[in-house]
Amino acid sequence: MSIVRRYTGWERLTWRHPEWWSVALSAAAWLLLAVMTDSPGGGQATPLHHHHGQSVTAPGRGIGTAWVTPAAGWLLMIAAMMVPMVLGSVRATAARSMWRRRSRAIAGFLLGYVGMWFIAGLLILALLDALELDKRFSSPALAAAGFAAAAAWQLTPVKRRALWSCHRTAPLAPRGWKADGDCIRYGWTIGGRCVVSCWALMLACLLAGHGLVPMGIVAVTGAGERYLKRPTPRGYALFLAGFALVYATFALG
Amino acid sequence: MANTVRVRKDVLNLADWDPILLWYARAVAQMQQRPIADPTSWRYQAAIHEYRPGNADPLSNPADVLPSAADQKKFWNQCQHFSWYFLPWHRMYLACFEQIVAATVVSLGGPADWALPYWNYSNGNNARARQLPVAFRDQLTPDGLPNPLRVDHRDAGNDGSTFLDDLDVDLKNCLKEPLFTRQAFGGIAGFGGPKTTFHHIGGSMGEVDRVPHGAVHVAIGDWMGGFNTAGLDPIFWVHHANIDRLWEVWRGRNVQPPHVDPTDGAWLTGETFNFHDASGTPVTFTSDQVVTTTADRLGYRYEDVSDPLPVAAPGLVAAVEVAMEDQTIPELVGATEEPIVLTGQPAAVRVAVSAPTGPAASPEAVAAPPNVYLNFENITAEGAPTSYAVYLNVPEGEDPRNHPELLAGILPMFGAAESSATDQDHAGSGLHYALDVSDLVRSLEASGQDTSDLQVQLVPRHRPGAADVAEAAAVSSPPIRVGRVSVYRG
Repeated sequence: MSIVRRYTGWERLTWRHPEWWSVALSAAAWLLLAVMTDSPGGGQATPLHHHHGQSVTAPGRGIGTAWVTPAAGWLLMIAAMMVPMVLGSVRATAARSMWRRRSRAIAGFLLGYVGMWFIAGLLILALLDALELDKRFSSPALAAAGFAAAAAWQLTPVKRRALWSCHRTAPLAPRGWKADGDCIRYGWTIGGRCVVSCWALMLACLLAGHGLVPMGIVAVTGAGERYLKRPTPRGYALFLAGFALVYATFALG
Repeated sequence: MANTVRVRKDVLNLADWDPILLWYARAVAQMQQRPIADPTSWRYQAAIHEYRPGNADPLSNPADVLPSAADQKKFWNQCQHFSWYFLPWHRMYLACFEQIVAATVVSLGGPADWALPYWNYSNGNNARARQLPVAFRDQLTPDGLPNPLRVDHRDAGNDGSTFLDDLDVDLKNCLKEPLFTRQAFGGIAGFGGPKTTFHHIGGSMGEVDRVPHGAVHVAIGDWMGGFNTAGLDPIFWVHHANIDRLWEVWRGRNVQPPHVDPTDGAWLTGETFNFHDASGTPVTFTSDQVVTTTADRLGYRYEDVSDPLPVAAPGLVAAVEVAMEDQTIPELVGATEEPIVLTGQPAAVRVAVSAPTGPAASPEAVAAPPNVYLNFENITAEGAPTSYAVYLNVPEGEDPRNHPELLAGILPMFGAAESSATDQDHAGSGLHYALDVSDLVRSLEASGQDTSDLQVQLVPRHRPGAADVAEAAAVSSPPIRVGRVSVYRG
């Protein structure tokens, strides 16, 4: 019985790491966001501050077109920051699928996962828009509040349980539409747990103006607690609280 | 620090109440007197494996003062199962425990060279091997005191019966496994377990983790059947000494190339584990510090690490450390569409198997005998579910137990409830078993059977409180949900 195969470099990449194109997708989203960013600390054209403080539902604007930019920006943020959080689930989806369906299965998973985040994001954006926070408070003050909330959320049992449940695997049907449906449902379910786990982080990112710096903070926190051994909620809470303090200093200064 | 090398002896070679066992009993009684917050106490040592407060702790007492939350987080609930740390972590655990017991023995006036005995239940030459050793079931010690080595919370063994069967103690699958670890999902996970980070519970498991480790746990049952209570039973430590010994046996097998431990830095030093030494002082270990049992910090060796299996002719055994990147990639070729629920009764499912289209279809793979793996994914349950034996393509109407040649393996279900939990940092994915059925499928094909439609039959085995297998089938079990039964080709 042979247990050894000599794979080519391409086979090693694509066969052993079926998540490779999810990584590429995320990298492309980061690149696009970097290009679009006005300044590292914030002020990007998407999604909350899409028109430099104007509400997405500002009078006189067609709501259909007004939402295009923030929605697209939100999608980019999900692709950049949230897809890397579920590479383990992406791998599990591929490994539990028939060989020729692996990429299709991953696409189904991502559809469900991104779909959940997209809807959650639109709700958050609508809430922020209704509250008109960006008109009432300065950007650093909002960022400080966002990161303080994210730090507090880290310490809750609900957050901790949601984080662990993000690692849960699920059985998938092997063939046909049922297989597609199972992949989408699995992505949707993981997305829901991920929203519970990371909503505060993403909210902080939005409130901070979603520049590369707050996005980097959020990405490092999210990936760290997901992939590094034995995540310590208190450590991440302190990390986030530190940034809340920095933004608060800016707000007061 | 160990100055001399202690010898861990086979309990089967000892007199019923050899001084090693008598001093073990005296030390256990002493440790049981210590408060739970004392790291050298009996309950603290068991809690290192896993602790659940309140009603889940059978020795819970309103007067208990538990260690601080920080200490609990650092030292309790640390057991590594279903991971390539399974063997090294339990070796560290046992070594520290042994040193605590040995120091207690000395403090009671006993010998300085006390060592933990092991229980080689797989010894086919000893008729008593599959019975619980006498010292663990007598009501009284030779001192005339209640015997702390006897625990009433066992489903089997206390009556002196031969309660372990061939399948519980079989060593062929684990000792013949050529690799310590494998990574790819769908195939078996190696001798020791799959590559993971710190991994408390859940997922695939190594061959030795499944059988005999898990099988013996559930065969004894009750306290031994739960992660949080197993360490409260003195037989736990003697059982695990044997599992630890099997690591030495596996590595020492006379096969070419030899069986070797991982050389991956992630295994050697990637995780640091916390324990207490005999004085109750915190100590840390990494895997590289425990690969040699005679190393200064461990200081023991086993009386017998001879190979119980006949050695295959050179060239027939492919044994070498194979880099993860060069191991075969198992590909899914068939699976059930819906979950199945087992309730202690026999059950059967069919799996339609397709021809491979990926790595297993490559010319190189096709030229070699196929590797076929039968997987049971996302097994979730509560309580103490019954274990199952799995058979393939048993002729209709016939009792699978009359067809040992069609046996695929056993699913002990040890850890099913713990792996299903969603608290205490658990993902709740459940257990995952992979059985290597390559030889069985080849023999089915050789006999002209169509293996594109596999009939998988599950037969209940041990059941808490049941006298035998037939009775086990009649006793209801907490339901076990198997998310999927799948077939992979490697």
